[in-house]
Amino acid sequence: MKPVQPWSRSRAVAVLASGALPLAACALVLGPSAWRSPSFPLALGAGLLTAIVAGGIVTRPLVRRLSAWDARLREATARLEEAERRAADGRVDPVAMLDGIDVPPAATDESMEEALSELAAALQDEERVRERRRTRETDVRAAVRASKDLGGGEGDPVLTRLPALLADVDSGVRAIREACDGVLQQTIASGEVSQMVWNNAQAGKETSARATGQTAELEARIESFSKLVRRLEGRSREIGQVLLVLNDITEQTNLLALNAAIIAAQAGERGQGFGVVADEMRNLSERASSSTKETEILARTLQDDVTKASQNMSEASEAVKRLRQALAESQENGALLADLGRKNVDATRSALGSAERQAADARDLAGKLRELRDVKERLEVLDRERLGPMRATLADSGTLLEELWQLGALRDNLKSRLEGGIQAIRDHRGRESRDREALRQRLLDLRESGRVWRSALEDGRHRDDLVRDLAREIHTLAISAKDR
Amino acid sequence: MSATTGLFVTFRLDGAEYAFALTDVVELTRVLPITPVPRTADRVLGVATWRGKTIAVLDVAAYLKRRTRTPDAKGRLLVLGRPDPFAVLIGEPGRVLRAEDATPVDLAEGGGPGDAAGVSLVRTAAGLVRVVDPACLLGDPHTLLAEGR
Repeated sequence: MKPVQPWSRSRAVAVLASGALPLAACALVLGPSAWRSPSFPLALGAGLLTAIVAGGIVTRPLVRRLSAWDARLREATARLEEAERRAADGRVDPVAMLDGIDVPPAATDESMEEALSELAAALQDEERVRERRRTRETDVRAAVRASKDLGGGEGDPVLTRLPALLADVDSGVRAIREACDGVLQQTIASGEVSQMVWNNAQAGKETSARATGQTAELEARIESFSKLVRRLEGRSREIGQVLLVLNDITEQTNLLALNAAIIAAQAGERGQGFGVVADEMRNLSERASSSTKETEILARTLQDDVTKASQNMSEASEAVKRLRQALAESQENGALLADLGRKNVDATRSALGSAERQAADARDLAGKLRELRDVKERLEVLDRERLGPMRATLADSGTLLEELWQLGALRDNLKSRLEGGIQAIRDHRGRESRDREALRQRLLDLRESGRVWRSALEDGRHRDDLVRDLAREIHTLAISAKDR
Repeated sequence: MSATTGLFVTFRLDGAEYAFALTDVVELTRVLPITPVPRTADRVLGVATWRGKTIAVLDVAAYLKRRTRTPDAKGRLLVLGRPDPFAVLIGEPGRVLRAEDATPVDLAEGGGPGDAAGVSLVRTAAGLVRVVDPACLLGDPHTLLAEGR
């Protein structure tokens, strides 16, 4: 009988299952559109080949252990066949043969589980390596983008914009310098004006003080003059009273003259001389009346003037009081103005210092701008000489990264397939374990049967029948083992 | 005609010049304290004491229908004496004039505004002067009382 090699087939089945099952799953997921693609057979072949290779690599330690176990199983099978042959020849002791058979230990499962754990750990290590590679990938991509932004790529790179930016900054610095010069000039002019204001405020303050003193003197004089005018007003009223008396006297004289004229007229020729006196008296009375009226008018005019003068003096006194108050306020305002002028002078001096510092800063800025322009030129040289090749290298790195990414995708696919293969192997191993356990149980049963058979043989009963039955059973068992 | 016949004492009343005959005039005096007398004619201002005598005081402006004035300190009283003296409140006293034509013209009928009975025109060197007759001004005492009822 030809020797049976069950683990060679198992290995092939495992390898094919670990590759073909994920592949079939991918094909199912992709759908009929992928099956009808012209490149599907080629992809299928490549996938199978990759799966077989990967399966071979991944299942190597497992296969090694399975091979050891297979060798032992094969040896047991050979012994069974030998026992069968000897049983057929009638010169063998099946029980002794059974005793020589080594039942496969259950530790093989542990070895297989250990191998699978190692495989899972290896996959986790690979995942960590992948993560590190992804990080490097991100760094390289950032470097590629930075290289493009620096001037090697499209869009609005820094080195392309740098001259325009430098020109803008240059014009800005020039404008700042001009503005600083203008501010400086205006600050100087403002300082001179502030100094003048301060001086004028000081002079105004002194003038206000003098004017306040003179105003007080003027107010005293006006008050004295007002008193004089009030006395004059009183005298004027007294004159009015005197004029009333004079007017009364004049009227009385006129009356007397008229009565004298009447008496003289009544006296006839004898009263002609008295009539002349009466006429003179009447003329005198009329002149006195006229003079009294004129004097009365003059006195009234004088009184009105004095009253007006008194009112004017009162108003002048009030005006002088207001003037003095205004001068006091003006003096205070002059003091405030002088204080403000002094502060303004100080502020102008400070502003002058600030403007000079700003001008110095603008000069420093212009110098730094020149240095920046030199840096720009050096950057351009650097860009031409070094960054160009570096940029090309980075571009190549980008391409390489793309390829790496594709390889990563392939590797992911392979990993999923490998995990599928591992699961398939585990399932297969479970089935093998169950079969092995069944075989072991059968061997134990057979050993028990051998002991029974031996006792029967010792009893000498039915020896041939038992041997035949045992041979058939062993034959069946051998066929079963062969199939496995 | 005596020497005084053609003489007149003039006075101004409400812008017009009037006169009394010199023979009728006793004295020109200030306004005296006047005591009003009830139930008398409008032109009667009252009575006053003049030189120890109680005399009637009349308002010639009221008689002549001129604008009257209150008897204040500036007013003047012209004392007339026919037969008993009485006073007449006049406006501004004038002077003594001599008439060029002594024949008066009665304006009782056909006179203008301000003219009344007893007023006649006399031509003087200063022009025509209205001369008031004191008798007409005084009238009958009974009449003065009857007019006041």
